[in-house]
Amino acid sequence: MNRPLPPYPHLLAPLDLGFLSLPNRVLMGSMHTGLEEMDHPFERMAAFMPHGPATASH
Amino acid sequence: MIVTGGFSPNRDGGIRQGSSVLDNEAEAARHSIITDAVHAEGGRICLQLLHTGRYSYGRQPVAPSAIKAPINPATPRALSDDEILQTIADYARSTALARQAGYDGVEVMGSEGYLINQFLAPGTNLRDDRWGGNFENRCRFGLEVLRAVRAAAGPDFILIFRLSLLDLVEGGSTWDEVEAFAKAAEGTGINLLNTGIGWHEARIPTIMSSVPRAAFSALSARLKKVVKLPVITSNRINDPQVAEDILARGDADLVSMARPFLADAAFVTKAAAGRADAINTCIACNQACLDHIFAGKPASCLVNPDACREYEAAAPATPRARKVAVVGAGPAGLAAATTLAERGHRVSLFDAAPRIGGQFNYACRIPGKEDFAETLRYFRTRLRELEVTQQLGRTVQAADLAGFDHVVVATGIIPRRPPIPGLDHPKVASYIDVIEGRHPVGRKVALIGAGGIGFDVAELLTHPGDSPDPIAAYREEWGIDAAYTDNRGGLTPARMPAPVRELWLLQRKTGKLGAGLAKTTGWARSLLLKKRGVHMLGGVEYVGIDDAGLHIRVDGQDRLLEVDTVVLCAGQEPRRELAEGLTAAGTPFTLVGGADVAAELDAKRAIWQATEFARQF
Repeated sequence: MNRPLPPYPHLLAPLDLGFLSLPNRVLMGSMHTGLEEMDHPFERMAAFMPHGPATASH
Repeated sequence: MIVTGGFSPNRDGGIRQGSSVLDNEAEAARHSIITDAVHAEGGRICLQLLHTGRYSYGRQPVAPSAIKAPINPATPRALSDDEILQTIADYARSTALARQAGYDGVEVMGSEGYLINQFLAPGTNLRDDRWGGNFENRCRFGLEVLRAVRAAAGPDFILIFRLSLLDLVEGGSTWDEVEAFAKAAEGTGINLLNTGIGWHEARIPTIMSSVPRAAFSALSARLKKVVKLPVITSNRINDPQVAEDILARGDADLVSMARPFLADAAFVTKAAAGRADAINTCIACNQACLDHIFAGKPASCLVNPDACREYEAAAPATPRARKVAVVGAGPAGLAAATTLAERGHRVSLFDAAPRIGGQFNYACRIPGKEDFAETLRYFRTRLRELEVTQQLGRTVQAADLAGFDHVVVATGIIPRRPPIPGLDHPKVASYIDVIEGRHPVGRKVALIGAGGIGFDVAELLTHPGDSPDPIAAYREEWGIDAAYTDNRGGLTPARMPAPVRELWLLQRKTGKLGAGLAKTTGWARSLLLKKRGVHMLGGVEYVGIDDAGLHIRVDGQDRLLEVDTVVLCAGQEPRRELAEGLTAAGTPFTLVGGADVAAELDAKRAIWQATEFARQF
C-alpha cells in the first residue's frame, strides 16, 4: 500500500552539515523576549523554547 | 533549530546596562538548563552573539567611528585598535563558553545595523587604520570575528553568520560588497549563511504586516547563486506553504521564522501532522512582541497570550464542567469560547452575524492586514475541533440564555456618532459601511478621527489597488532597489502610484497625528499616508456637514473641506444591552472585550482579557 507523501517535503527534509544533520529546514529565528531580565530567567527561557517535535524531526 | 536572543560578548556591546552578556563560566553554567531542555526533546540550539555597537543604550556605546545613530541620543566612542582586538577575543571567549554551556553552535549577528555592519558600511566607518578606509579593511573586523569564533569553537560546532542583504540606509553596502563579504565569510569556516534585511534605523518597514509575505526571498535567491553554503531566508514568512514554496523554488535552503513561533510554538508539529489549519498564524502586528520590548515589558503575542509564559502554570482542566454561553464571536468571544471548551466546559457560541470574527472581519479588509483573516481561520478550526456549539446569525436575548450557568458577554462595540450638525447627511458614512463596501466613497474624502481606525480607513481609501505583483509594488512605494542599480544600501527614490483620492485625516486633539499609534509600526503607517499626500490636521473643531462639504475650524480659522464623503472613525461605545437583561434575569455573566471597555479598539486587550477569564473560570 502506498503511503501518502508527507506534507511540505522540502520544509521537513533534513539538512546534512557533515558532522551533524539538522532535522528540517526551519530555523526559529533570534528574538529578544525580555525573559532574560525577569526572575528565573533561564527556567523561563528553557520553557519558552519550542519542544522537540517543533524543532526536531517528527 | 533554535537561535537564542542576542548575548553580547562583552559589557560594552549589550543593548542596555545589565542586558544579556556571556563572558564568564558561571553564566555559561546557567545556560545548561536551556540546552538540556532542548536536547531532551531532540532539538538543536545555537546562541546568538550580538554586539550592538552604536545602538547600545548603555553608559557609553562604542563603534568604529564616533557617528551618532539616528535612533540613539548617545554618540558612540570610536574603538581603539587594541579594543577591537579585545572585542574579537571576547567573541572567541563567548563562543568557547557557549560550547561549554551545551549549545550546538553560535550565530554571529551581522545584520540589522549592529557593530559588524557599522564596520562594513562606509557611512558608519570613517577609520583610516587597518579597520577602515577601503572595503577590504571594512570587512576585516567581521571576518576576524568569524575566524576567531571558528578557532575557539573547534570543527564540529555549528557556526552561522547573519548577513545583511539590504541595509536600506544611506552609506550602506552595495550588492557587490554583500556578495564579496558572503564569499569571504564562507572561507572562515562558517556552516550556514543566515540573512537579514534593513538596519533598525531604516525608514522602510521590513517586518510589519503591510510587508508582503516572503518579500525578500528573491534576494536570498540572488545570494544563493554565488555562494556554496546553505542560505537561510527570513522576514514575513508565517505559513508552511509559503515556506515550502520558497524552498521548492530554490530561493533558500532554510527558512527562518521568529514571531510565528510566538503565535504558535507548535507550528512545525502541526504542519508536519497535516494540520496547517490549526496553526495560530503570526499577523505581524508587533503589538505584544516588539511593542512590548520597546516599552521595557516582556514579549508575548496578541493572538497567543500564552507566548513567553510557558514557565507559569498552565490552566488546569475544570473540576466542574458548566454550561456557558458566549455571546459575540469577535476576538474576545472566540478566545473565551475556545479556552473554556479546552478546559472542559460545555460552550455555546452565539453571534448575530452569520459568520464569526467581529471587528476582525473589518480589519482583514484593510490592505496590509489581510493576515487577520488567518486568525479567524485558526479559531474556526479550533471551534470545530473542540466541538463548540455555534449559533451564528442569531441575535439572543437574556430570556434565550436562561438555561446557562454563565454567560460571557462579548458583544463588542458600536461606532460612536459624534454630535456634529449634519451627521445625517447622505455623504456621511460609518467606517464599517466603508470597509464593507456598502457606502460609495468619492474622490475627496474627510475622515473624522485619527486613531487606529482612522489610519486603517485612510490606508484603505488611498490604496492604489491590488497589484499583480505585491512585492514589486511594496518595493516601489517604499523606494527599495533590490537590484542595487546604482546606489548603496539598496535605496532608490520611491515611485508613488497616482493618488486615487484626496483625503483629509482629522482629529480634535492638537499635536501630531498618529502619536498614539503603536511604537514599532505607527511611524511607517504615518509615513505611508504622508507619502500618499494625505492631509493630516489636528486641533480640529467640527462645525457641520452639508452639500458643500465638511465645515471645520482650525486655529480659529474657518475652513471648508469640499469633500464628497465624510467617514466617521470617531471611536466606539460598548454594546452591552444584553448585560442589562441578564442582570434583570439574575443570570451570572462576565463582560469581556469591547463590550467591557471600548475606549480604543484593542484586540490584544480583548483576547487577553477573555482568555484570562476563561483560564480561571
